[in-house]
Amino acid sequence: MTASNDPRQWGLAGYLLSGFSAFAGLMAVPLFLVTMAIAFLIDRIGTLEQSIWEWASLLVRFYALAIVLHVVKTHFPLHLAHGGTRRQFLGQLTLFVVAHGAVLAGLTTLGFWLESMVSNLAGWSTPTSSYAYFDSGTDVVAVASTFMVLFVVWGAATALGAVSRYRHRDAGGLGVVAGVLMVMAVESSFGDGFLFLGFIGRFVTLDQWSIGVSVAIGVALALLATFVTWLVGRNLNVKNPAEM
Amino acid sequence: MSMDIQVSSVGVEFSDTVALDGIDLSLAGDRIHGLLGRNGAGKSTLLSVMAGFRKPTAGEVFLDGMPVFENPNAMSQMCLIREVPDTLDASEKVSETLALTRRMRPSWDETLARDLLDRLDLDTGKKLGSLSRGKRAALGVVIGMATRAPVTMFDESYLGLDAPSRYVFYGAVLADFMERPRTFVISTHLIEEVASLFEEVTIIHRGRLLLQESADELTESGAEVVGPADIVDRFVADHTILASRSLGSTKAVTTTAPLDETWRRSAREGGLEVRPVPLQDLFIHLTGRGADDG
Repeated sequence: MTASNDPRQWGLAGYLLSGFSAFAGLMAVPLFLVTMAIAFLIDRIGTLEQSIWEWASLLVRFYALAIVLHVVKTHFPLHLAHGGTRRQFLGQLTLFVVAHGAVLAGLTTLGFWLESMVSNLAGWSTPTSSYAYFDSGTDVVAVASTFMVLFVVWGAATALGAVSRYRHRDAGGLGVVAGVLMVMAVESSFGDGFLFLGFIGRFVTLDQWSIGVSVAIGVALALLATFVTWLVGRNLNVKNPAEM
Repeated sequence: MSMDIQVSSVGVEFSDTVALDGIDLSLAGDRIHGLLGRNGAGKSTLLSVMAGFRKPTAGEVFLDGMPVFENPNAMSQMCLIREVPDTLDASEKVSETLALTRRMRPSWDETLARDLLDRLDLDTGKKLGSLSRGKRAALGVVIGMATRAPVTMFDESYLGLDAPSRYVFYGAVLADFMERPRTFVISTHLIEEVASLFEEVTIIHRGRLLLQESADELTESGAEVVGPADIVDRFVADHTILASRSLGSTKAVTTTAPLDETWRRSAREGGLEVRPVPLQDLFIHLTGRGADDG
């Protein structure tokens, strides 16, 4: 069998993406309906100042995290058990993190856009976002770029933590800490606060920041996380499920 | 496709333990190999290294001359089923694990899988988390057999099965091997039950290779002598006794006595029955207390 027609080489990311994207799509519908119900109630009793979907997008981050944890814990040993290699798995994991991040970003962007549309149609006060590069959910490009980068960094950082834990157990906590710092950095660069990157503000004033800078920071962090994951995972031993 | 496995000076060290100590081993293709050893002897570690699940601290494993570790051409030819088989999460169904395995294994034999599912009474609609130990073991057997990997290894993976299911497994191995030969490596504690399957026997002890011989040669390296106790005792007086059992005035002694025809004839003329040495008795003798003293 040649490498090109081996389903393990190209199939894992596609298999995971099709299953988890469909699930995310199904879950997005009730999540959106709940946020609209909350928005309706807030508008009845007061003023809707902040996007409710923005709060819902926090859940999407943790969904992305949970899925990557599951993929490393379950699909890594299965992939090896059925003739795949670590390098193939890590390549497929990277592809999946990017593609799944794109799907989640698409759903999140759609949610922001629909929230704006519904608010306009219902005559509710216009919800604003606390993100640095868009105020309204109708600014589709900025919303999509923001969440694409956020979800990819969340996925890549989770992969780093999960692979580190799988390999080194408690000592792998260092990988978890590194992943958390990466997530804090990218969240800060897209949020209003620039909390984590505040020290950079001593040298670069905030008005010099643009979405391009934040995207570049996010891409650099995702590449760094992927590189370190590769270093940690390329000789990973498969644990015995009886001992886990 | 016959595939030989070459284990070359393989060592594995954990933080404070030497699990494998420079093992050199050659397993011929298209044979059924038995891998025996006491608890902690290093069987599971050796199989993990052979399947590319673990990188050895020293040495290397080759499949038909190809290094195994991280070599997709070699690893795709192998399948290792462990005591708890690698499956999806507990919340997923048996059918989902089988569907994913089918996708990853181009050589998957659906007919064989369905036949074994039926014979092992495994409900594919059940969630993995709800399976008993025996049913999980049955799932491992189905996966290992139906992958039809040229090198298929079972690491005590069928021990959770009840006796009838174990015999389904043994029958399936034999039938499939006769129809489409492949290399099986089977590690086990149930030596007597499975011994008749083995063509080659490899025994490891405390991380080292203790013995590798054909099963026939091994069982002919000694004898079980059965008969009246006093005659048996007289007959084996000058030989090493591996095991001894008595029932009333009848005694069965396993000995390393030479099995040449003269010896056999004189035993029969003395009213004794001579049988091949039980593999389990030999194993206990070789790996028992004092085995390290040479």
